[in-house]
Amino acid sequence: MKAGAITAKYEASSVAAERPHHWRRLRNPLISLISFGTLLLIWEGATSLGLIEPLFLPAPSQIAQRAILMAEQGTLLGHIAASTWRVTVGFLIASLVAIPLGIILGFSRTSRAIFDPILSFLRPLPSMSWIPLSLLWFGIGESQKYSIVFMGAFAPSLLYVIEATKSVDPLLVKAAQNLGARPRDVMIEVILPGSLPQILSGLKVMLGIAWTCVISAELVAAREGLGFMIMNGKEYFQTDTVVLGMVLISITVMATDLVFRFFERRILPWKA
Amino acid sequence: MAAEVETSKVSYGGSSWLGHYPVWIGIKKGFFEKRGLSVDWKLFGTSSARMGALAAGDIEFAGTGSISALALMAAGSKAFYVVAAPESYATVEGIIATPEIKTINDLKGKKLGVTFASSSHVLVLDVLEQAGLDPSKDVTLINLPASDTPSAFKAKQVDAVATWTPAFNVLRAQENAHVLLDDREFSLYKQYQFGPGPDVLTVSRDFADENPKATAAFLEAFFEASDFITREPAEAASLLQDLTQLPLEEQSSVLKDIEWTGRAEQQKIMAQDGAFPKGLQALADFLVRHKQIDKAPKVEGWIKTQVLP
Amino acid sequence: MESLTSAPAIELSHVSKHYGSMQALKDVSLAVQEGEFVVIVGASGCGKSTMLNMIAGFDRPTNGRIHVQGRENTGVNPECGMVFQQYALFPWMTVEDNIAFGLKMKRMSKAERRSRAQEYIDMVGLRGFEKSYPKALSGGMRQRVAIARVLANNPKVMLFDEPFAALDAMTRQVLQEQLVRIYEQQRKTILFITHSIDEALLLSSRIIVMSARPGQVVQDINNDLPHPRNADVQLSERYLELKRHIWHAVQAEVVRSIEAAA
Repeated sequence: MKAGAITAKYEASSVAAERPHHWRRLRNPLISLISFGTLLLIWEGATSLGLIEPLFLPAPSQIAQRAILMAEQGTLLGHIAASTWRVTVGFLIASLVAIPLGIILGFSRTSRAIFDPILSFLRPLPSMSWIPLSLLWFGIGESQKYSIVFMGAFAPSLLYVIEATKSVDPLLVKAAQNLGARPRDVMIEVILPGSLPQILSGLKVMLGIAWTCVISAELVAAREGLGFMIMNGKEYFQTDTVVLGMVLISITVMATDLVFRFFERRILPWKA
Repeated sequence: MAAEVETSKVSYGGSSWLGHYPVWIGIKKGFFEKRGLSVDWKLFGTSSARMGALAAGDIEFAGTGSISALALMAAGSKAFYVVAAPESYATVEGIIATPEIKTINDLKGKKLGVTFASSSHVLVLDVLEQAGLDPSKDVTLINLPASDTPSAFKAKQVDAVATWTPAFNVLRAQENAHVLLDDREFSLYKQYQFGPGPDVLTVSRDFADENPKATAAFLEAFFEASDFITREPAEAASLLQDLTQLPLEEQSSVLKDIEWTGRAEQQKIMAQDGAFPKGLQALADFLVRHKQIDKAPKVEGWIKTQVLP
Repeated sequence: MESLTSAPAIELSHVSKHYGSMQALKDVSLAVQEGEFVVIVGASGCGKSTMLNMIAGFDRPTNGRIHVQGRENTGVNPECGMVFQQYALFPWMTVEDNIAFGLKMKRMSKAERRSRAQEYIDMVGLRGFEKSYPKALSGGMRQRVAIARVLANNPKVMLFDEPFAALDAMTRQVLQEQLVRIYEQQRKTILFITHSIDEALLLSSRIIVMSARPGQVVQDINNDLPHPRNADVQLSERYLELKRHIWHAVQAEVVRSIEAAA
């Protein structure tokens, strides 16, 4: 406090005003960085002192070494790319079906009555439970992996979209009809853009779920992908590979989230 | 005799695979009980799950394929000893393919389903290497659980599968399928009569060090049981049906394909310069060469032969 | 001027509306002639908004008939452009796109839409805000966009549902003056709801006083105050006389509705 008061006396007031502003912006990231670094240090120390056996939790440095080794072998990027691609395709198809269908279902009670029994049946099914059927229907190729992601993401996405359409202010629908909008216009011009913010935030949650689906899809009949990497690491007791796979999933999901946010800002300029 | 053992309760990690038959028979026939041991049978579908439980201290004994045992050694875990190699089999595991695949070289450009990190996987890597094929380029290997290999093959999703009994026996009987090769083609088998992933009996290191008498009693009962299977295959087969759910006839035929290693034979092959440690070490080196494990453990550090007098 | 034989712009004959056991409107008959500026005043909950909703076609009467331009309503009628109290602008559209929305629904070409929209943007004095989103505008500006949006759609009838109730007094006055100017220019038929007697006197050519629930027409007053209705007019004897008259009528209904509730 005292030192600050003295500095303020000698420096231009604008500088004094800017400094706490700068500090405030950097403060929280800095705290996060320190806490993360401390955690890594404790972790590293505990394993190198032999408090934790590497089989149960390998040291961060060991995980890093595994990452370097796999990067040199050229397998690391392959695993990331394979899973990311499967998530992208399965998730994209699920959204492309769920958004229009969800808007129609949100708009029309009759269609909701038609689809309700099917949806109620599909909703509680975990994507894992689709694996045996998907193997029979789609074989063991890539389309089977897409289908698992699709089945895991589709029903919850659809429900998100239906909920989102209900969040649109009915007054806006009234206004649109009053200006001559027909039912199809209302869906495309009002319900879709009006529910888009909720749809997008729902899809962001679904993207995380799609990742859990791809991991289960890769348990069977895969030779690449982060899920395969984790399972194969487990078979060989390479706990560092297992943890590395988990870390990579986290990082990849965070990265896709950033990409998603970027597009969100583009799609919803009126929200900014 | 019962009063001698340090503890009466032990648990064993097993499955319906043939390597676990002696423990099952030993429980059913009371061979453990008469030595003062009550054995709790715990079912684990895969070797890695069983060995994980052993390393975590959840079970005392486990039967396992040697690939998992080697992987756990390579991971630096000192948690267990290898105390026996119960049996050998060479004709109930192999590659089954469609008729147009007549030689290993015909696998080029084809899809082959195999359980990764299994003995069949090792067999495939080995025979492809022998034929000069690259497993990551020339053939598409697909990770399939052994139990899924028959359906994948029948649905023509793969052109060949590498698997073991009972899936192997099921597929062998199929039309439009033939045995391309079996474990006898494995390079270490040609050299040492050592299969791609022979079974081993393992015990928790802490348990064995603290309870030598109970460990010895377990092994004695184990060999009495494997001896029983050799002598009384008919009774053994009917006792095993509870475990494997196989029809009696099929169960008997599986038993015919197994060669049980008796107690005396055991002492010879497990000795320091015996065939088994040598074969196991060679298998470890093989796994390193094929980038399945990082570094080859010195396997003698895990083999314990002086359990039985 | 239209010939006298033509049908009224809006005609309600013996209209009643029930919501379950609650009666909102009771036997309302009313004819609004083309070019009239009719303001409806009444205690809150007297069914004014219900009436407007039925004229626009959002709702149907339980009994009686409603004709707009001589045709009975069958559904939402775009010939009755509605201005809502809460603006009801599309938040994802710019000012320009909001105003051009009705034209888009008429499948008008993009270029034509733009030039028509510009005309009305200028009319309500929002030049320079074409590309703004509603979020960036003040309440008064938003309501001007809403009015322009209805005007651009060129309906025969305009319905206003307490459009200035949420605005501050200064903004309200500016908008009232602007609306009078637009009315004089465009000569639309206007039906306007308010609970402000001053607003009714300033804007209307005719004032309808509605009773407490169930809503009925209790007074139908011709507003003969001279234009422009500036400060002088607002202090005139005639203005105060009309105001007193309407005030008493409304007050009686308010008291009646409170007593009915008790």
